[in-house]
Amino acid sequence: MDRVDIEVSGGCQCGAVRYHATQMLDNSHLCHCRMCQKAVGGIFAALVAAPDEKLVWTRGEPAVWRSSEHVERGFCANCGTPLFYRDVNNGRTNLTIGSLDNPGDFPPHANSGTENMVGWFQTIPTIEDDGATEADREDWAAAIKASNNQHPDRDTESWNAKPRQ
Amino acid sequence: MIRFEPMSGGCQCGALRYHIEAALEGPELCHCRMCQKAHGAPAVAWGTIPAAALVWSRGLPAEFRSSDHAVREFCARCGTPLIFRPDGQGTIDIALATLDQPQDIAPEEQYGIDTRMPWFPGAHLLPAKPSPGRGRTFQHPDHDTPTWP
Repeated sequence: MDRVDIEVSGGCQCGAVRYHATQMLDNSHLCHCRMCQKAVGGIFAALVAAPDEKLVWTRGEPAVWRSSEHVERGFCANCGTPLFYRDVNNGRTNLTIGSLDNPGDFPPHANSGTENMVGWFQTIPTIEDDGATEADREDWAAAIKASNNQHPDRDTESWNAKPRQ
Repeated sequence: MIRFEPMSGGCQCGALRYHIEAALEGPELCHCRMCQKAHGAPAVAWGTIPAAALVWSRGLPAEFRSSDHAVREFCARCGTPLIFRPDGQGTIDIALATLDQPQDIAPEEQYGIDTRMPWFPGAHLLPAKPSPGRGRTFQHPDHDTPTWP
């Protein structure tokens, strides 16, 4: 599997857990397996890996739940954001693409775990576009933006994560 | 008349289980940056029900207040994000993938398309393969259990 030298940062929604990698593997993919669906609360997980020795946690530490014999799933204990899938034998950590500061940098190459792919996945291009976040439902979007507790999509020198309730 | 069937679901580890006692409405696929980050995913499929129609049959979720106007509920033990609860609307959104049978409900619209991943509309055309064989899983099954684990 090809490796790419690249600076990557990311973290959870509340900002309590942040990471940085200096190299990534060229394995970006979508996994539709029932494990990934549940772990991210989504119809598929989008994952791209960093070699373990090239990944550091720059703020906080992820909580970890052992989802199967060989796999750990990392998340933020304060806000729940799923951060990674990691086979403990493989020496790499598959980061969730939504948690990257620049999620568009790693387009996927393949779909895996297709045995649980939702039937409507093939129809996605036909599902009506309701609009951009701040174009449709303007007042609602503006209100959220004005009070958003989400960490920005870049490193910050310091950050007060809103504590979970 | 649409015949309504109660639905169940929960988190990956099984510490949280819920029942839904109303039909899910307005299913949508949200690409907004908040949902992307909260789920670590490119987009989240949601369905809406009256808040009173959700019953926790096991456990109670942890909550993160993501803005002044909404709370996101997740499992403290395994991190699974499940619920988006806007303030004062009397409704909640349930992440469809946390239902025991998620494939039954298809979104009818897409929201937040300004941050949609450029590759998303073509994702269904990528090469596809099923999962390889796996070791023992600790994930809760896709049906209610009298006790767990």
